[in-house]
Amino acid sequence: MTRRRSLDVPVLARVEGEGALHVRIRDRTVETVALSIYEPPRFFEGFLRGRAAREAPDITARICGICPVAYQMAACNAVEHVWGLEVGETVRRLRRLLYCGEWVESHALHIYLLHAPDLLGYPDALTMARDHRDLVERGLRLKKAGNDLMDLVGGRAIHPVNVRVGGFYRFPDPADLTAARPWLEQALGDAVATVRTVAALAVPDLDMPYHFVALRPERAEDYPLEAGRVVLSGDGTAPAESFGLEEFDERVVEVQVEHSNALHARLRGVGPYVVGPLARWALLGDRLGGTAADLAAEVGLPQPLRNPFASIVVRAVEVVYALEEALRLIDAWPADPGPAFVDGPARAGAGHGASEAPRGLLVHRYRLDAAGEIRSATIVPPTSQNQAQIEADLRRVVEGNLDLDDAALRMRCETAVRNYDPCISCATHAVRVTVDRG
Amino acid sequence: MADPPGQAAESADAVVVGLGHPDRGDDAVGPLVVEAVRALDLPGVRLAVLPEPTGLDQLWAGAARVVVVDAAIGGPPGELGVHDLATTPLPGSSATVTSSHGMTVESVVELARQLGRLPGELSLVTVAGVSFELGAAPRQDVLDAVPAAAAQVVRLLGPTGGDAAAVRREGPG
Repeated sequence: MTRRRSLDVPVLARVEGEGALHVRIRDRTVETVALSIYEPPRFFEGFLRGRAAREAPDITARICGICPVAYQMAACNAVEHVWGLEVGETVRRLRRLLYCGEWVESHALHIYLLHAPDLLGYPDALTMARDHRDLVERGLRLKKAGNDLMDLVGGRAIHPVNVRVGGFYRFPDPADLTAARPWLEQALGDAVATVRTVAALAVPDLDMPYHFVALRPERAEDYPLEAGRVVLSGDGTAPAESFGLEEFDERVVEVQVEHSNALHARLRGVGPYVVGPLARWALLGDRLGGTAADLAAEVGLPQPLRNPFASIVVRAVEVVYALEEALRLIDAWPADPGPAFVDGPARAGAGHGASEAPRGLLVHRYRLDAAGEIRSATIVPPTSQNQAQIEADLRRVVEGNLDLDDAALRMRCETAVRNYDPCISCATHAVRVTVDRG
Repeated sequence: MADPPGQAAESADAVVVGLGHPDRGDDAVGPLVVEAVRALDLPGVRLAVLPEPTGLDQLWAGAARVVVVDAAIGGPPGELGVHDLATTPLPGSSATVTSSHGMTVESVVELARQLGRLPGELSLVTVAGVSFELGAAPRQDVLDAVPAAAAQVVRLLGPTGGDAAAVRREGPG
């Protein structure tokens, strides 16, 4: 007799945005794993056509309330690439400082309010707070520190208003930067404690044969963040292959799949790949340095890490890095920072810009006309790049947990999706999980 | 300048927060109500717009009186609802607050309640909407409700809130 089993997760809670997952099992064989998501970036690509290129940072920041800086940086980089603008060192540093704020607030939200409840066995952060009030309060303190840093540099914590093509409208008051030092150091203490906390959590076993992709910054000491023109690709065990951002469209194939409104990205000749913390750590983890590197060694973080359920540890290490980097950037702030932006005439042409969103590589490609208007725009967000790999993870998770009852299997699947901190708003608009055992 | 973690970014007696996305149909109503209140230039009132609720607790830190405005599903388009969240959780039977994000208004408020971080007065004003598609404009009947919603916000602000009638004269829609 054929035994069929079906699991539906109609709403993936605690994932930015909405989506749906359908799993169909026949005679203990997983037939279908389909993650369905919808795609606001496609709307924004259309919305950008005919708009002034200088508006791109502000328009694309609206794609996501959690990672607006990622969109602003990629948009600025793309326009500056077309116009041949080279930003100065101080602008580069301030962009990095702003981005550190976004990483801290986004990772803290994910670690404490979205992922830790899964790993501690709670349905949500509210329930977890009854038993682990100290953890939730620490997470909220960290998130606030990230938001405050964005507010300080960007003029606003949500959708910063100080960013423009070529740099910033104004530099922050050096006294305000100095005054941030004590609370950033306090946040660093919380971040260090976070690494030790999450490294002690029990996580489900999974070992996936990942192929990683991450942006490599020009400066050899920089961990991937606000810019880069070279993409690294590899499995984290051998020297990675690198290619220029201009080759991204040839190397990465985006395909429409029937069950999702988001495009699936595949690396040509390889297949699904992973962007985000696991990829950055695998390919460029040797650039962390300082306390972040010491902590990774202390908790025995393997490099590469192939268990996505343990990605929470990499995020925690990256929070430490972001806070240390913020302190370094503040300490190195020059007495005479020079102009807050560079400007130049509009040029016609096509260009790419990329940055490392908390969730992974984000690529913008624009074609601009001589009047400085956008003729076409393509946005490749991290979640759509991870989507095919998320489905591959889910298939392995279901195959390895067929004896779980539907409720437990559904929860495990939801956690497997949340491992990637998917910003469904970036890649989509609405997730639901279905397991069909027939 | 950012204040140390745990303190309000900017001191104010009262805070009004409009939740919603300006490019997402009727979801824009929260920000529109805030703009209507902004036109009154009320003293001691800080105004803010958030695309999603996760930063709410940070915005209201240090404020004695907070009003949150959001779109809701349920009821005829433009229908107003007022909920006292300081003393009572949002009832499950009430209108569902629209959000495409992981942290809902209810979860942010209840987490703050559990951690003892709720302001003394916290009200939620909802405006019923129908369409939340990206790129869509708000419906006219939702726009028509903006002045009344802003007036309700002003009433909830109490003596700080000035002349509610002025909102009806100056509000959009």
